[in-house]
Amino acid sequence: MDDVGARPVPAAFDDWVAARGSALLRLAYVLTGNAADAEDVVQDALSRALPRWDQISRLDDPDAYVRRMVVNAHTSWWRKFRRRESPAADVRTDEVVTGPGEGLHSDERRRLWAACQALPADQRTAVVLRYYEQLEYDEIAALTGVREGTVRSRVSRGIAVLRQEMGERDE
Amino acid sequence: MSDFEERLSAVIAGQADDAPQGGGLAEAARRRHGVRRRRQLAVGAVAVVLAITAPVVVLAGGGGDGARDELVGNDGTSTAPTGEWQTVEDGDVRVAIPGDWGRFSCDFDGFESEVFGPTEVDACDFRTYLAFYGSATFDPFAGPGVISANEDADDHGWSGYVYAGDLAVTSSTGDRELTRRILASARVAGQPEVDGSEWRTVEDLGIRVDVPEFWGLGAEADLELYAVCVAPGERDDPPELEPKADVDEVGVGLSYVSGRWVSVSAPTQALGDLVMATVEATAASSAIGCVRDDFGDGLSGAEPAFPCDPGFGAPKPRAGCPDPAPDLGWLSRGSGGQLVLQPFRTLHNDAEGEAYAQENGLEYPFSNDYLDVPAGAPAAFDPLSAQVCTGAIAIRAGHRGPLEDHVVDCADFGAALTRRDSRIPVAVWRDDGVVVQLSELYRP
Repeated sequence: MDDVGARPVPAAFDDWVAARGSALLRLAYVLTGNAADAEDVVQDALSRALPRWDQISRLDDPDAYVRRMVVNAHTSWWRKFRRRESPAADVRTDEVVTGPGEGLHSDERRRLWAACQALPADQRTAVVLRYYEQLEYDEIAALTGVREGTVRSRVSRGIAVLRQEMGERDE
Repeated sequence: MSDFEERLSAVIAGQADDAPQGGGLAEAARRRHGVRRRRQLAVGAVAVVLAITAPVVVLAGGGGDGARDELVGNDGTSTAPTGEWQTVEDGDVRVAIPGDWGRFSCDFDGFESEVFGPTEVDACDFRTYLAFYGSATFDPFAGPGVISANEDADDHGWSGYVYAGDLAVTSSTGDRELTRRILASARVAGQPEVDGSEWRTVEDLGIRVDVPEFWGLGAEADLELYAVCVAPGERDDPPELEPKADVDEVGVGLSYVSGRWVSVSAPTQALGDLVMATVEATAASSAIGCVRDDFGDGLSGAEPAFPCDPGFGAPKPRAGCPDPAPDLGWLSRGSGGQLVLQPFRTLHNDAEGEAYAQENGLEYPFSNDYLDVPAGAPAAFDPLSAQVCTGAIAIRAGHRGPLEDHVVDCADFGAALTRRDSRIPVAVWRDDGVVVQLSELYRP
């Protein structure tokens, strides 16, 4: 998990991007599901932040502001070019799983990731922000511009679909 | 957080490790900002300059130093057509051009713009080139997608343009097929790259039309959305296009051809323009309909890779499939380790579904508007008995494309069912007791 909000804020745009860029790419990657779209989304957000960097860098939480720009860029990208089906993660059966989730069987990990990628975009965004960024429902609501109840519904439905995909019963 | 939620959190975090590295992000953002800013400036300038010299291009690319690596769009969503090609971009519009072309800064009566071509002279004289225009100020002499011979007696090239996003993309080369291939690749970031290297001419319903093989997306692509259709109607009364899908997903063209309306639904607007421009009447006809349902397969003459259509979760009839009503069920691993098929039936959000939910204390309406419930006794089932198997989401070994039905090794089902509590929804088609197809169903 990347804690993009815990470090001091460098004033210079390049310094800030060097420190936070990877975290933004990781967020964009789990939102979009592929590297090219993740880079596209982050570059788009950063290119829009650049001309206003003086103002953004003085905010209490510039990380959150840019993170919101990334989510918005993803949403905009999705709305503009949404496809009938979500692109799938590039996964292989011989994939070696390391780091977080290493206790999971690779097949289960692959299936769960694929199922997550197959969620409708709004559900996937809510699920990622909840279980990757570890945001509270009201924070997700503020970030995505929808009501908290809507966020709860999206997360709940997303989880229900994932459980079903994984052949698990609701707890 | 439940155990499942913790596992989900760990899986997503683990996948994030596959994210691209952040090197060069600031530079890329600065470059993109520069393109956007220059385009905003250029749009105002072009409107004036067009009156005295045309064509004038909207600025493309980065800082003008001609570095080849900056030409290549950061667009890993696709592969370039075969051979050494590169992707260039202007904002969110991407186009594939030959790999040995460069980017040149050309001076048009004091207005400096950038054009792509094999040499500076070729590019700046607009002999062999690719350029991006702000489409709002683009003033074409012909329709989009029309590739015509240049009128200049000294120029034996072929020119044309297409629209992609907010830009017009124009190109000319000495080879008509090369011009068409370049223009066919024009797309907006996020759309598939069309390989326009192989085209087929098809005659049907009294029209002739050129379409790239498999709509330029390859034999594995889902081509269901794309079609050339003919509808009746008067010239001043165009028909409502029956949307085959969300309009954002396809490039749509509509044209009146010899007393009928012809519509084209293509993967991109550029390809829709190019295909529509080739449509011509071959005979007086009142036929209506679409030119071949399986355009791509029909063009290649190839048979479907599997005889029955899993419909990505909702099996559909298909000509040639011997079993019109497949058995549906969950495939799981039984207590003895053998694979077992538990038949299910599907309830919907209707009176029957509501009654079942009440009777069994289930949430109603059903999530995703349906619920699969057991129907009948489970029985042993061997996936290896099937003549062909397909996967959709859980069974994805070696499959790198978008989620879609695709042929898999039948042994993959057993390999995927490693846990006793996991199960895979499937359809089983039989012919005289022989399992002709086993397909995983996508049942979210």
